[in-house]
Amino acid sequence: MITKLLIPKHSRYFKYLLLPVAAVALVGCSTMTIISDYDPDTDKQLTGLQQSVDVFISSMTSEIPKWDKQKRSAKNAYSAKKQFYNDFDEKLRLLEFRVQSIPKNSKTQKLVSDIRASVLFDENDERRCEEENGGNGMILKEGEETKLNSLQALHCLDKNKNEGPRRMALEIAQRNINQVVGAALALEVAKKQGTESNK
Amino acid sequence: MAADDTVTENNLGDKILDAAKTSLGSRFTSVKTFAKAEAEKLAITLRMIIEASAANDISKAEAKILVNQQKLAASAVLTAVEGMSLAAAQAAINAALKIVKDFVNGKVGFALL
Repeated sequence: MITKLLIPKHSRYFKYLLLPVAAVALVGCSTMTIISDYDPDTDKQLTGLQQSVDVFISSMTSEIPKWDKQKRSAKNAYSAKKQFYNDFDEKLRLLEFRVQSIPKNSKTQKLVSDIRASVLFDENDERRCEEENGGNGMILKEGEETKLNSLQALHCLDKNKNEGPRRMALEIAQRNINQVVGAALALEVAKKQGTESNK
Repeated sequence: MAADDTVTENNLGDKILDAAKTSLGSRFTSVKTFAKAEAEKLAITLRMIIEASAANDISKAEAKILVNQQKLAASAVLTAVEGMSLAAAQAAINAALKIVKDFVNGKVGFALL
């Protein structure tokens, strides 16, 4: 069936022409690598990051009663939680270093950079967070286009900076971040299955 | 007459294709299942943003950031799907090589594959 889809009728013998080409290309190796193998350390570090950010967001959510969607908690102030972002950055750097050292690992490298972007903001935004609005948090003006996309940026908006975000904002951010980290973990699992089936 | 699982010069192409098809089939099913589940998650999250914004449970600024973050999540899902497809293709190629390895090496008289 795949043959019929891939090879036009008038060139049904095309596959036989491909065989010697494939054989030449594969001389000297019994397996072919187009994507990096499963890496247990990457898997372990991704799992650790997923757990730490999930616990962090859940701990903030638990400070807000479920029945009051407008409620905030001063315990969730940015200053009280800043250490999490520093620790996360540190752990993420270790993972970035690891995934960059593995050949043919561009997909995982991109996914790890997506994790960074979804949780942490960059240096410019950090400065904005510290200095804008007299240090009371960033203000997005009406109609202003923004590239901000991280939990840290959400946490550093005005109101959120001193009293923490409301429950719904936290829950939606948690879903988004879990989906990004989950995608990276799913790819590692797929690599693991591929590696095991070819043993 | 050769048994069905025996690789010969005549059935070499078919054996390679059979092995690749078997490997690809099951893997692409799981890639498709993953993509569908993640697309549903994205739809639910987008609905949450719309409803929370309408109910003023999140501010406009928060909605913008959360939508941008969701775009990132969508991009991550597509990257994972691409990677999983590559892993599936790689497994299929290697399954095909494994099938013909003994035959090819036997014919040439050294470990070519």
